[in-house]
Amino acid sequence: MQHNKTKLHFFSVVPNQTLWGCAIICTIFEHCMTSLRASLVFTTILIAISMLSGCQNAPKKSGPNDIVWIKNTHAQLFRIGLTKTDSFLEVYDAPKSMLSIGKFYWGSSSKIEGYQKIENRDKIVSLSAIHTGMLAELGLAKSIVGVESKQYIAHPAIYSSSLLDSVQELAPDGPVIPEKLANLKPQILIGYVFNIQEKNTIERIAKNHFPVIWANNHLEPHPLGRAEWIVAMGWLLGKSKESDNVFKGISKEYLAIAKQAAEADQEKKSTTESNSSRARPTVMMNIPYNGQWFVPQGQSYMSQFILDAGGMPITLQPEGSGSNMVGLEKALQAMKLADIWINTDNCNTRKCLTEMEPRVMNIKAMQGNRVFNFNKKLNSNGSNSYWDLGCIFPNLVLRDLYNIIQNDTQSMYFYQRCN
Amino acid sequence: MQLSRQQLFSFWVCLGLIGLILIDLWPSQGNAIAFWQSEIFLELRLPRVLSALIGGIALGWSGLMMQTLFRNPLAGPFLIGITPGATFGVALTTYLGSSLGLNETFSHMAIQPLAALGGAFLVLSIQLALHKKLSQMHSLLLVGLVLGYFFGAAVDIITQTAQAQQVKQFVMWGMGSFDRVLLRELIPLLGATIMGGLILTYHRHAFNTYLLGDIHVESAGKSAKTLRNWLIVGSATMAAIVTAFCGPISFVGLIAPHISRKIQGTEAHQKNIFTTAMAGGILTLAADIIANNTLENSTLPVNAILSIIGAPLVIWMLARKTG
Repeated sequence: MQHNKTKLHFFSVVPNQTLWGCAIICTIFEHCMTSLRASLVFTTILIAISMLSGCQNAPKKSGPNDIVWIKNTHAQLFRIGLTKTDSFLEVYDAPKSMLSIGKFYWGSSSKIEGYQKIENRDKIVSLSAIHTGMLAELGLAKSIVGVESKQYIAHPAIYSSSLLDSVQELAPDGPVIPEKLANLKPQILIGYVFNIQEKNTIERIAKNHFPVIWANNHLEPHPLGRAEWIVAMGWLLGKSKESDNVFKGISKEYLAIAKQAAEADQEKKSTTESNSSRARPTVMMNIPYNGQWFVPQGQSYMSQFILDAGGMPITLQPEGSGSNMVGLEKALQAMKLADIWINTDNCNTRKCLTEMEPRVMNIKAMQGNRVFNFNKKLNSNGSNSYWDLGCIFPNLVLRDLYNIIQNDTQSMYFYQRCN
Repeated sequence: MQLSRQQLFSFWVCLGLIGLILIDLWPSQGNAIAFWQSEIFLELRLPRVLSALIGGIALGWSGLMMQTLFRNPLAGPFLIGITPGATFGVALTTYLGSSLGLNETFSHMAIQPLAALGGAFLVLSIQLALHKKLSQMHSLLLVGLVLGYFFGAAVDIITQTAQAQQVKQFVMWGMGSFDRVLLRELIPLLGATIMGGLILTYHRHAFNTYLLGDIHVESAGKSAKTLRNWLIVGSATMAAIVTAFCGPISFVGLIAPHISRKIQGTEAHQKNIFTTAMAGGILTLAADIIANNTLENSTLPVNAILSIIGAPLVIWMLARKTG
C-alpha cells in the first residue's frame, strides 16, 4: 500500500521569503562591512536565524506519530490505523494518483489536526447500492436513513424487508437533491465520486454538519480489493470484528477457488500437448454499443476474475485497469475465436445479441452456445443482485466463472446461459 | 491537351479519394489478399469504408443544397434541426424503449435507424408546413434553430430518467461511427444519395438562378417555392439517412461545399456537384482512417476527428474570406 510521504528537505521547510530576505540583508551588510571576518560571522548568524524561523513556520505533520496502520490484503484506496486512544481511516481517490480524499478518526481524543472526528453513526446515508449492501451485511440496515435510489438495492436484508419503506430516496432520477439531503440531517454519508459537481454539492451541504466518506471501491483493480471495503465500513461503524470475519470468509473461499482453478489448469496442461496459452479457454466480455466495444484491459478486475477462474481474458492491452473503446472490426478480429462470452449486459438471449449486431454470429462462443450473462438474480424492483452482492461476495462470482470455464453450469448463482 | 487549373485540381482530388479508399481498405497487418477474402473484410471493413464514402458524399451534397436553400454559406444539417430531430428519435427509443416494450431483447437496436429517420422527418414536415406560411428565408432558419433547441431540451429531460447502459448506448451513437453499418444498410444509404444527386443534377441551373434571388427565379418562369421544396426534401433526406445509420456526423456538410467552391472558383452547381462529393468523401474517409489507425488498441470517435479537422478549417476559410 502506498502512503503519503512528508518531504523534509531544507528548502521545503524554510519559506522562500525568509531565504530571499536573508540573502538580500547578507549582501548589503557584506558591502557595508569592511572586515571579512565580521561579514562571515554575521551571515552565519542570519542563516541560523532564518532556519530556525523556517522550522517554526513549517506545516506540522498531521496526526499522531504513533499510529499503527493495519495492512490490507488487496484494497489500495483506504487504510485503517490505531493508537491507544483512537482509530483512523484514510481514503484515497484512485490507485494511480493516490490523493487523499478524506482523513477521519474516532475515539477519546477531542481534536487531532488534519483529521475529521466521527462522533455519531446512527443515521447513515449511503449513495451506492454496494455500500448499502455492505452495511446490510454488517447488520446496520436499520441505521440507513437515505439511499441514492431504491431501484438499485438488491441485498435481501433491505430489499425484502419493510425497512425499504422508511428509507428516503435522495437521487431517484439523477443527481442528489440537495434539499432532501440537508433535511434528512444524517450523521454520516458514504458515497462514491461520480462527478466533481455532485461531490462539491454534497460537501457544501455536509460542511460543519456531518462527515462524508468517499468510498471509491469501484476503482479497486482486484475483486477482493473491492470486497475488502467491508472492513473499512465495519471499522468505521463499530463492527470491526464482524467485518473482519465476513471478509476473511470471502477471501478464504475466493482463494480456494482460485487455487482449484490453477490446479485444474496445471492438470490440463500436463495431459494435453497444446501450448500453455491455449490450455486455458479464452473468454470475451461485454457487448458493442453502436459499433463501439468496451474491451477490459489486462489489469482490470474482470480480467483478474477470469484469470483466477482459470480462463484467459481477451484484452487488447495487457496493462491498465480500465477498458479500451474499439470499433467492431478490431474487436471482432480479437474475439472471433473466443471460447466463452460473458457479461452480455441487457442481452439475455442469443437472439437479442444477433439482433443487436448480426456479425457476432461468427464468434466461436456463439456457435458453441457458450454465452453467459449475470441475469439470474433479477428482482422485481429492477435491481440485479450481481451489481451489489457480486461486489461484496466476489467468491460467488468466481465460483460461477470457474463453473462456466469447467463447463459445469448446473448450479450457478449469478450467471445463466443465454439461450 | 491543356488542362485548366480547376480540371487539374479535380483530378488530384479524385486521385486523393481513390488513394484514401485503398488505404482504408488495406489490412493493418498481414497478407492483403487473404484479408480481402476474409469474413472480417466482407462483413466489417467493406461496409465501413463504403458507408464512410457514401455518407461523406451525401453529407457534402446535403450541405451544398442547404447552403443554396438559405443562400448562406454557413448552413448545414444541424442548422435546420435535422440532426437534433434524429437525435431526439434515437433518444426516445433508447431511453423509453423499456416502457414501450422494446427493451426486452434489445430489439430497439434494429429500429434505431427508423427512430432517427422518424425524428428527422418530423422536423422536415414541420419545416415544409411552415414553409408554406413563412415567406422569409431567415424565418425558416430561425425555426430550424428553435427546433434544435426544443429537441435538445427534450433529449436532456429524457436522459435524466435513463439507466447507465442506455446513456452509454446513446453517447456512443452521438459520437458517430461507420463501424456499425451493415452491408444491407448501404442500400437505403446509397438510394438516398442517388436521389439527392439526381435532384441536384436535374435542377442545377435552376439552383444557380435561385442563388441570385426569388425574383430571378420567377422571371425565368420557375417557382421559387417548388425549388425550395426540392432543396428541403433532398438535403434533409440525405442528412437524415446518414444520421440514422452512422450517427450525427458533423462538419462535413458545412465544409465540403466550401472546399469545392475554392477549387472551382465558382458557385455554379454544375461545377460543384462532383467536387463537393469528392471533398465530402475525402473528409469522411480521412476521419475514418485516423479514427481506426491512430491508436493501436482503441478506436477514436469519428465526430471528434472531424471536429478537430473541421473547426480550424472553417476558421481559416472565414479568415481568408474576410481578409
